[in-house]
Order: sequence, then structure tokens, then C-alpha cells
Amino acid sequence: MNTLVILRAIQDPAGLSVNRRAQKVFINREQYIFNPSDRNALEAALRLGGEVTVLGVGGAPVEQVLRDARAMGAARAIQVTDEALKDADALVLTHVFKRAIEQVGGVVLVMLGAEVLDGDGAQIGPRLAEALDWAFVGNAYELKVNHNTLTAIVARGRAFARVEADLPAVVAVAPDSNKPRYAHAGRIISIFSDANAVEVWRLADLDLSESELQPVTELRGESFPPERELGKRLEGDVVAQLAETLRRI
Amino acid sequence: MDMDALSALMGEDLAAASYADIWVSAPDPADLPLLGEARRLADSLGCYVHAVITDEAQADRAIALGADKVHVAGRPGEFLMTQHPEFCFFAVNKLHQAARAAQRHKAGLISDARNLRVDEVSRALLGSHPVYGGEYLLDFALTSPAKFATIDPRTLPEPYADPNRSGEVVPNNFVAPEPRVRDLGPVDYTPQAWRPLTKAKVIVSVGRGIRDAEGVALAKRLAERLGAEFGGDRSARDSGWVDEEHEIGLTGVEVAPKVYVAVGVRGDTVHNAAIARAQHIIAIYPNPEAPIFAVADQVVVGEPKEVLTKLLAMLG
Ligand SMILES: Cc1cc2nc3c(=O)[nH]c(=O)nc-3n(C[C@H](O)[C@H](O)[C@H](O)COP(=O)(O)OP(=O)(O)OC[C@H]3O[C@@H](n4cnc5c(N)ncnc54)[C@H](O)[C@@H]3O)c2cc1C
Ligand SMILES: Nc1ncnc2c1ncn2[C@@H]1O[C@H](COP(=O)(O)O)[C@@H](O)[C@H]1O
Repeated sequence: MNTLVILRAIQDPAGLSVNRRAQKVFINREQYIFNPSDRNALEAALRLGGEVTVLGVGGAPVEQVLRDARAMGAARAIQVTDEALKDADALVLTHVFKRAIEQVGGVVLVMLGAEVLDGDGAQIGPRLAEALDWAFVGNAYELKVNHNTLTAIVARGRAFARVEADLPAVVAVAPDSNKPRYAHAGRIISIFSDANAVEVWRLADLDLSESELQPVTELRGESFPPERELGKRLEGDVVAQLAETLRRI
Repeated sequence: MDMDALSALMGEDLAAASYADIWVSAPDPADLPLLGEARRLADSLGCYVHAVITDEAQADRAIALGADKVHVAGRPGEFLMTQHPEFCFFAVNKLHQAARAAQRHKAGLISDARNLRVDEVSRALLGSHPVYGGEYLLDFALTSPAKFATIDPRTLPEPYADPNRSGEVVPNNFVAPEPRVRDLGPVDYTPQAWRPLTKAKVIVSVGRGIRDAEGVALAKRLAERLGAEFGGDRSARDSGWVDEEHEIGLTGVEVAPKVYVAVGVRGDTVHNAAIARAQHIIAIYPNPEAPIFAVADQVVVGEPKEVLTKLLAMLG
């Protein structure tokens, strides 16, 4: 079975600090990490067996993550990188991932992380399923593939349910579904010294139309929640004030 | 019809169609407050608000909250793929349906959107998306013909329901396609790496200031009432009220909930460091000098058991 895992590099939040009063985000240490739940997606793919390919869009940060993934056991890594992707949004990335998946050929299962680090879900998975016209399984925990059928345990709020879908499918893997393995030290050395460990594809290799590369999302800036005022002692009917806060959650 | 002819037709349809109005997907009654937000924007734009619901019995409430037109469809996300919404809102817990429909319409999507506005000249949808657990927000403008957002109803003001508003139920002959993912029912399951506290959105935690087992039972009732996880500090573990997996502190678990309610927790350094990423902290403790108060947004100086008893009564 050919499985493809989409990986994303994100700025390590440990290297960030946010000053709400100055309305600024400071990057103290520019350092990229594997989006945590993408690592779970890779682990789940490796456990299913078969050949695992990893794919990412971006520059040097994503190349690091792809090398890490090879060291963990992925057989093949593809980095799509092109100046023209500088402003790519979720719509454009979906088109790029779709074409790259078609180009790899024979992929019946695409896996990615169910959450980006901010935790409120991720759009690429369902978008990609729609673009490919495949099934989408979100928030997946245990996965099994039997012939052409995938079964998964998925989270439904605080409970779990079992679902089933025919392949091909896109599966978003939950962050606490498994404990990702560590890469073997010897493999890290050989992958990181191998110039060909990650294949580099340019946009010209993908045959996308101009309209497919047209982003529709513009990042206009950042905004900040009001500064927290700590140590504020409630006065008056404190219980009513607490109840009001708690009713809103 | 073969697939190519069908997709050619659909492509043409997409180009020719004019996208109009604000559409709200509301399969759950809990999603209906989104109509208030849609109404607010529609009044300034001068367009209609459409509600897509699954149960016709909700139509009157949808109209009272702001819908001009109500559509009843088994799967709102699929139904919306056949319509031409200029602006389209889903509840934040329906991101998957929203993202699928957005992709079908070649649209942008702002997830967990705050502060939504429309640029009346360009018709761009402007809104912010919280990142890194709400530390800050990214401000986006969507410029596609259709624009999607998911919204957390809890971030909206209480919607105003006007029982005298008029609206109509628009009949349709939409037949929802069979879902590709088949539901085989609930299972009893504990994930391998299950860490309920690290994932929890709301946590109620106790410390020795809760005094005794009766106090702990009250705190557990509050957790249940809020759908929260329950934990405790080092002193709670020493008292046998929580186990290792539920000890909050640098030796136990670090947490990052939206709301953290500390009852009878004094707040030593290791505990307070482990809750530094919580977005809103409520602390109830008898002694006004307790270090927990220095990191809390809402401070209540009082006997935890008394406060909890009154609070539970008020929450019902
Ligand atoms: C927590 C979080 C959540 C976000 N959520 C959303 C969201 O919901 N919707 C949304 O629209 N945006 C979202 N963003 C914004 C957006 O994803 C990022 O700001 C932007 O993609 C920059 O990402 P990065 O710094 O990780 O860079 P990278 O991941 O390295 O790259 C970002 C993109 O730029 C391109 N790129 C970068 N370098 C190169 C290169 N050398 N060659 C070719 N291409 C390159 C690629 O297309 C790549 O995908 C989010 C950002 C964060 C941090
Ligand atoms: N630029 C990217 N490069 C690689 N993978 C990405 C990228 N953006 C998103 N993804 C994948 O899609 C998932 C959801 O991301 P998003 O929809 O942007 O929130 C991530 O966890 C990754 O697996």
C-alpha cells in the first residue's frame, strides 16, 4: 500500500514571545519544528506498513522536517519549493498537494495532522479530500486497513466512535493517538549527510494552471487580545460573576 | 452523463453564477446564534440571510434570530455546495464540512473567526484567526467570490430574537448524497497516548485548601457541570485526591486550557508555571496572600466549599 503523509514545519512557540501592550510578536529564536500532530500522522502511517512517502511545501524549515521523517522511516521525501508559492494559501496549497499526489502515483491513503499547533483544527485535510474526490476521516485514533476498506476510531467530542470508509481516503490523525518513535541515530547521520534524501520539485514539475495558483487569502497583519489584568479581586456578588464567566464556556 | 461533461458543466456553473447573500449552516440548535452575526453584517450590506437547517421545527427560531429564508436539508454542508453563497458561516466544530464546501467553491476560509467585517467596496471578508492558543490573532482578508468562516457561537454576543420578524421556508428538492464515511457506532476506547488534561479546554483543579473529601466532591460536581477535566496540585496528590496523571505541575502535567478554575490551590511556583499557558484563570482561596492570585484573572477570597456550594446552586 502506498501512503503519503503531508508534513508542515512551524515556528517553535518556545522561541516566540508576545507582547500585547506593544502589540508585537517577537521571534527570539527562529527555530522550526514538526507540527506536533503531523508527527503522529507519520507514526500512524509507519505502523500501517507499506511504502510511506512524505511531502511538504516550503523552504529550508520543511526540508529539515522531511529529513527527520526519513530518519524515522519514511521511504521517500518530496519538497515542493518555488518562489511563486511565497503567498500560497490553503486553497493554493491544496491544489499543489493534489497535483503532487497524482504525480507520485498509486497513493491510496493520505495522512496529515488533525491540528495545527493552535489546536483549533486544520482545513487542508478536508479541502484535499474534496479536491481529490476522496473520503475524509477526521480526528482519527486507531486505524486499520483491510483490502480496500479503512476502519478508524474517531473522537466525537469527549466520546469515541468507529467509522469505515472505502479507499482512497484522506485521514487527519489526532495528536494524542500514539507515541511517535524516535529516529535511529545511525539513520539520522546517514539521512542528514545524504544530499539526495529529499527530492526537490519545482512548480514547473506540477503543471498547475495560473488560476489554481491564485491565492484568495491575504494576511493583512496581526492583532492582539487585550492585555490580561491579573490579580483582580472580584467584589460584590462574586458567585454571580463567576457563574456568568462559566456559563460562557 | 459522464464525469467530464458533468465537471465541465460545474466549472461553467461556477464561473457564471453570481454569488450572493449570507448563508448560515445550522444543523444544531446551538449553531443558530450565528444568525445574529449574519444579520448584523446583512443589515449593513443590504442583503438576505439564509439559514440551512436539518429540522424544520427550528425554522421559526431561525427567522426570529435573523433569517430571511430558511432551507431544510439533510446535510447542510453538501446542500451549500449546490448554492452560491457570497458569505458562508459554519459553527467552529463543523470545520470539516465548511472546508470541503469552501474548496468546492474555490473559496477562502477563516477558521474560528473573530471580528468579522466586510469591505463594502471590494466585498472582501475581513476577520481574525487566533493562533498559538489565542496568544495573538492573524488578520485575514478573503477575496474569492465566495467567502467562508467558522465561528464559535460562544464568542458572539447574546443573539436578539424578534418573534415578529418575517421570513419564509424555501422548499427545495435536494437529496443529500450518501456519506462516504459510514458510522459504525460508539466504542469504549482509551487512546494510547491519552492525556486528557493536556488537551482539556476547561479544567477544575483542587489543592489542600479544599479541606476534605466533601470539598473534593463539590469540585468534581463543578467539573461535571462544566464538562471539564478534573485535576489537582502536588498537595492534592499527597492527600490521595488525584493520581500522577492528574497532578498539575512541572513534575506532573503542564496544561493550556481556555479556562482554569483553581479551588483551594495555593499556587506554588511549580504549579503556577505549569498553568502559564491557560487563557483565563479563576482562583478561589481563603488567604488573600496566596501566590495563585498573582496569576489569576478572577480572584475570589473565600472559603472554597462555601463558594462552590453557592456556585453550583446558581449554575443549576
Ligand atoms: C498557528 C498558525 C495557524 C495558521 N492558520 C492559518 C489559517 O487557518 N489560514 C491561513 O490562511 N493561514 C494560516 N496561518 C498563516 C500561514 O500558514 C503562515 O503564516 C504562512 O504560511 C507562513 O508559514 P511558515 O512561516 O511556517 O513558513 P513555511 O511553512 O516554510 O512556508 C509557508 C509557505 O510559503 C511558501 N514558501 C516558504 N518558503 C518557500 C521557499 N523557499 N520556496 C518556495 N515556497 C516557499 C510555501 O508555500 C509554504 O507553504 C497560520 C499560521 C500559524 C502560525
Ligand atoms: N505549508 C504546508 N506544508 C506542508 N503541509 C502543510 C502546509 N500547510 C498545511 N499543511 C498540512 O495540513 C495540515 C493542516 O494545516 P492547515 O489547514 O493549514 O491548518 C497540517 O498539519 C499539515 O499536515
